[in-house]
Amino acid sequence: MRPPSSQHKLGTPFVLLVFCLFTITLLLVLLLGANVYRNVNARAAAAYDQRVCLDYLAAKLRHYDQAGMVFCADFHDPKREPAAAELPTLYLCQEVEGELYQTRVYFHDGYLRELFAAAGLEFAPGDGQAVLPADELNFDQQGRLITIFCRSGDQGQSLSLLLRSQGGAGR
Amino acid sequence: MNTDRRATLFLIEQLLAILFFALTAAICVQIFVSSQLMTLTGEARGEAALQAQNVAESYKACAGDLAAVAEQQGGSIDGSGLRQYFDPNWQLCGQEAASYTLTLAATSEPADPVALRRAQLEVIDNQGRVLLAFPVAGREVE
Repeated sequence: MRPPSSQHKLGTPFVLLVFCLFTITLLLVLLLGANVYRNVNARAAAAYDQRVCLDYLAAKLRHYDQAGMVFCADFHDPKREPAAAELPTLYLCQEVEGELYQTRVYFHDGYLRELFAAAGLEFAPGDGQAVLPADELNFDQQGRLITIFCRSGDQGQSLSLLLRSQGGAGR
Repeated sequence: MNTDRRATLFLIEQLLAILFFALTAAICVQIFVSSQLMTLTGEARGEAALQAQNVAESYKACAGDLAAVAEQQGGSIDGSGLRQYFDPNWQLCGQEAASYTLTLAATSEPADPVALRRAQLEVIDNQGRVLLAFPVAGREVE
């Protein structure tokens, strides 16, 4: 029986070492990939949460933009200035068969809510349909410029929209 | 002798695998980095678009009065127009801490108050890359 050569003694641990190194690097690259994927996903989700509310409201506002049909006021009192409002609300009005209907958009109980009803009727904030989860929502109006502030998570964003219809700041 | 040869063959196989793996890993890491950079750039462009839209809408509402826009949206007026500085979280800040700069520069200011006023809006990052740029116009509505 031949004794094991010194080359063999050195070769086997070296092969094992190379194999271990290969496995570790493979795992590291996989971890890096997973981490990048998680980061990209988290950023996309955060951007979606922050922007979806503003984009939704911007689309709504543009849709209803007719003279005197869009304004900000209080949920209970459409004649009250938004700065003095207890519950700032965006009013989107439309005429259906000669009768005026209003869609009130406001924030209550962790949700952006919508309430569609004939003008002049009294409702409680909880009566509206929950549309999107949010942490804060506020409306302000200076002439024809409506500013919406929405916060979902840590950071809030503002969006200013100018009513294109002349004399659009109705109440 | 056979065991030696087997170990050597295994070592060569391992080295070839590592070589192939190193090449593919280098490509993968490049893809990961570029995807991260694309996400960051996309996010910055989205935020820049939001801030630019706010200023543009305000410019229209103020009929091209830059001082009134600065009062509504924040920022300062200098020789080249309205400037807003933003930190990495897109909050208004001073020039020293700025990562992004929005500039609204008047390109046409007619004496007639009801004539159309024009301006160029631009958002750049602190490396001078233009995130977005577009012209805006506004005039007094009677």
